[in-house]
Amino acid sequence: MNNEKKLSNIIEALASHEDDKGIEVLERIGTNCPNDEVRRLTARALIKRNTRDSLAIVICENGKGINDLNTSVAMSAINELLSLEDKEEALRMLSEAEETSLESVKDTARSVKALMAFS
Amino acid sequence: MEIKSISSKIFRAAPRATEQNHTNPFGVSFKGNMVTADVFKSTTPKLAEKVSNKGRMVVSAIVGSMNDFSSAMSARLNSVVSFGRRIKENATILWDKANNTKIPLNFMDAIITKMSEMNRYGVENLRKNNAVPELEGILSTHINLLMAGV
Repeated sequence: MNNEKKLSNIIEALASHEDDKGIEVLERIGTNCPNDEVRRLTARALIKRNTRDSLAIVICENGKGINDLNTSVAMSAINELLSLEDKEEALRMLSEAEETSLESVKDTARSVKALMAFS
Repeated sequence: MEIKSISSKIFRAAPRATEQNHTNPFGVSFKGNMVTADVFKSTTPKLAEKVSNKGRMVVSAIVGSMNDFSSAMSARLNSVVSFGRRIKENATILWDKANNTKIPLNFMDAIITKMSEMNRYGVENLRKNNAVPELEGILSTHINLLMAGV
């Protein structure tokens, strides 16, 4: 098994761990990693978890998840959001993000919310 | 229309062939004997000849293709038979080799080690066998390996 596959499995194990501290570890280490692939895997794992805490990180925080400065990481996160079966929590977080003070976060949340309405 | 003209139309005499059946390309008259008929025969075959030639061609094509088909079939059958023979020979050789080969214990160990490694890094096993602080350590190690290009 190569290192990238191992990393993917470790991140997924943390995101799906019964202990919620796994989310905090992913936010601290995964979303702040200089490597694009690690940030992409972390954003996807957090979205798949689909809880308020995990979605808040990828939707409301500047420079993470759908607001990542790397376009491919952001697009990957948006894609994962659109593939969610239960979008209720995600829509709620996007509405909260629209009320935030940061303009770029507001704009991204508005666009993604519109996309989700069509999907 | 008058009856005379109708009858003349119906019973019109066939035009007489007034063309000569020889050609004089020079357009001059010769003194002495001259060939009165064309030395060139007409090359246009008659209808009956055309049909018979076409029939002969079709039949010869069929017979030719039958010959080719039968020789092609026998060539294919021969190649299938020889292929079967080769497979049988290879199977016998392989069986003998397999019977006589001893698998070294190191090889089995290597397989077992590889499988357990794959198992250890499976998502289920990582989650069940490690608490969050341990997973954090494992994550940091592998990120460092990735950044180092390993």
